[in-house]
Amino acid sequence: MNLLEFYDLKYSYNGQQNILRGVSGKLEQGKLYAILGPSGCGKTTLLSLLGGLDIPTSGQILFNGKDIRKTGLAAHRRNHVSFIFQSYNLIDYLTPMENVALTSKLPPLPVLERLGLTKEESKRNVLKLSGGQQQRVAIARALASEAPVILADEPTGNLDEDTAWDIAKILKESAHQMNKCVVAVTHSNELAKQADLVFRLKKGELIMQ
Amino acid sequence: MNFFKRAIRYCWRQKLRSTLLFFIFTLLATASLIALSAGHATAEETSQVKKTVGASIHIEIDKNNQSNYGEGIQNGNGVTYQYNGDYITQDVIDAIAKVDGVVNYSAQSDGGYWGAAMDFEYFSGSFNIDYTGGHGQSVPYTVTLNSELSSNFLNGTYTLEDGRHITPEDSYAVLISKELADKNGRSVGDSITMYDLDSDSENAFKIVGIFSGTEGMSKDAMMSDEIPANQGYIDMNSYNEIFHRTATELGSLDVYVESAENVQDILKTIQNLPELKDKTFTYSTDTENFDFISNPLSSLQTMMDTAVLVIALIGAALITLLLVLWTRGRKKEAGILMAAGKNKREILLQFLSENLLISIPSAAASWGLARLSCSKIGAFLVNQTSSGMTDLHMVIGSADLAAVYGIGILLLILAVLLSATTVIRLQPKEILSQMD
Repeated sequence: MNLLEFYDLKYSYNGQQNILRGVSGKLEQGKLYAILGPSGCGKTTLLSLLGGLDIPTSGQILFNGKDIRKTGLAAHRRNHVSFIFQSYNLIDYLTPMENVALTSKLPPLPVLERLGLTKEESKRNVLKLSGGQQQRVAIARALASEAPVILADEPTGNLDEDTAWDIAKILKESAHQMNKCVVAVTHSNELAKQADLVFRLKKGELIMQ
Repeated sequence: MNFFKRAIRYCWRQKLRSTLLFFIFTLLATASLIALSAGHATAEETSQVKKTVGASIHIEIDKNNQSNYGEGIQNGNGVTYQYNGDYITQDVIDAIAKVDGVVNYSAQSDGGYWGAAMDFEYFSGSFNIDYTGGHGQSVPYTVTLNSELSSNFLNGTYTLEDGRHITPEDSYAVLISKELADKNGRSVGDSITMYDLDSDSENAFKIVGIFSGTEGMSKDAMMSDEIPANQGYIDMNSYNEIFHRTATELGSLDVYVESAENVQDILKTIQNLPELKDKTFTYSTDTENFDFISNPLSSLQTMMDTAVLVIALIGAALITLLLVLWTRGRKKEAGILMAAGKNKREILLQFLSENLLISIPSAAASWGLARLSCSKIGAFLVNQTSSGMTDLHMVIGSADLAAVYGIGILLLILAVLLSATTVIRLQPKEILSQMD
């Protein structure tokens, strides 16, 4: 069943520069989607629209068949989606466990351990973790939330090749084992190789590969 | 994790910021409490001064008004004019004595009686001229209704050592100096007899009191009448009798009131008494003692009021500035929280809770600090004023605490709201786009 659908999405800055020119697609639970494309082609904009962070110039986004604008964008962000960012975006005065607990009432430690962090690392200041470990915490935060959609913006962009490979595998496993709909905007071929479906955004149009 | 738990963790882990804010809050609250308390203590002190430091009203026959004099009478020395206006009579005095707020009254005539010693001896000056026809040199006595209210006793020059003061009821009573009493072996209850040239009479007076304070004041006296130890006080009744005055007719009267606060009201009441209305008297008030004490107190109170206002304004500006600077640096955090589904209200509540959490120990610390420093600040302020007050009783009252902490929390909330607008007014997309 389609979890997230978007039809004829158009987006332009100040009514002039058309970033998206009628983009449509259907996303299902339990799958990892990769969206590729050159810088500035509108990948992050598409992700922002799907996550309810911004409003399209025209077009419609449905979650479980309901228009997210009618549900409310804040409620959509709170209940339906969670984000993973390129620069991890962890709260620096909270430990990894507390960062995960931001989005979940479940015990955070099992999720962190599943992503490879030890108990000791999970209680450390996040700034004392490596980049890969910080991104694992960010993924754990997204996974721990009850949101069925995970939107990842360049999740491996700041990581070395080996770590990027690990993260890509984690995202794929999360989609398959936790039945999440994971949408990753990326330049990474490793991540694209792990994806169940790959889209390419070119000249404001979305093409399935 | 809710906003309050995040606030606790933020305060605990951002130790430098929390400590800095703690000290700022504590300093501002302590300064405000002390200034407010000093202001109240000063107001209380002023009120006490008004109640305890008396004032006086001086009533005098109007000798300067020509219409109060009759036609001139030619005599051997030229033309003399007789005062035809009103005198201060016993009826007038009795009416004034009944007015609410009047605590005492007195009239005196310095040198109204000159007595030559008949059965005792004065201290001698360098030159002694006997112009009483063999009775010895005369010495001036102050004729008084109430010697206690004589300026020498009021200002502490003289002190009653033994016996009592002369009162309006006395007759043939005298106060003499301790030096004179010792010289002549007289004590309270003994009598002295004097000759008065003007009335050509010998008068025996009973010593009702002996005063000190004349010691060392007799140096370089040319005549014995210039020696303070020789001079004393006699009562008004004997004076009237000696000079055959059938009724009290005073040229002036000093009326003492219980507080300087209502001296003008009492003056109006006195002026409107039937016994005084339309009489040819002049009136003046003396609040010199009160003004001497209260003027520096008023200045101190104004200074404290200004201090409270300045502390509040500077404090609010400083806290707002710091919070704006710190909150601008927390855009990323706000974006993360919004992306994690937290709404703006929750983020605002977190910011507010963080500051309120720091303000709680600050409030306790400022209370303790203000209490500890109250007595020292009070003593310092007393030293800095020339009011003559010996103590400024500063107390940190519950009203002061409520005012400082209440207004402080309001200012803090405003500062947090103002600083948070830099983040809260942004849309999630704007914050997130500024993050990467």
